[in-house]
Amino acid sequence: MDENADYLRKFAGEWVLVLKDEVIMHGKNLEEILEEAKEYPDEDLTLLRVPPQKTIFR
Amino acid sequence: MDREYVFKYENYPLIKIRFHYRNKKTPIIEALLDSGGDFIVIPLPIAKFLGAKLRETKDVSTAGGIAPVSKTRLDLGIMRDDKEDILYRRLEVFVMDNDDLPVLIGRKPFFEDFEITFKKHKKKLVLKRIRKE
Repeated sequence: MDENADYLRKFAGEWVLVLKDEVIMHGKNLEEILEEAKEYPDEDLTLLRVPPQKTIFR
Repeated sequence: MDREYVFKYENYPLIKIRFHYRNKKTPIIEALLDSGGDFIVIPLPIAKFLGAKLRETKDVSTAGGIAPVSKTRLDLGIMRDDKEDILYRRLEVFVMDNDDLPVLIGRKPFFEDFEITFKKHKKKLVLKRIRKE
């Protein structure tokens, strides 16, 4: 996320699935995101959750 | 030389990991190093994706209140450049039914097995494996 932090900020509070450098899906429902992930080679896929603007983890 | 894992560190201390369970593996996950947490915690959909066997456990106290959790055991790899080193086999991982939670890497076992240096000014996060005697 850090490499593209400004770009990803618009997905604050969401899960983002990235194929190489391209966002292929984002949203709050992680189960749906992971279902989509099955369609792609896992070597090139990265999953991350973009923190909300104001974050207290846990 | 002790093995080092170096990650970019700008806004949050994130490391790239991957979970495995039997013959299934997750995408690479950017997980948050959580020095305030005791354990590794994942959202339930990740455990479901892997088909991991869950065991119920006692509710735990979190910053957000008392929360029900399950436990599972997963293999965990860490990315070093584009390659993956499997660090742990059958590692105990807590599972919470909460999609709003990032993957949290708590103190056990990472903070016991690595010297972790947060070089914010250099935008680097360095994990150096501790050689145990």
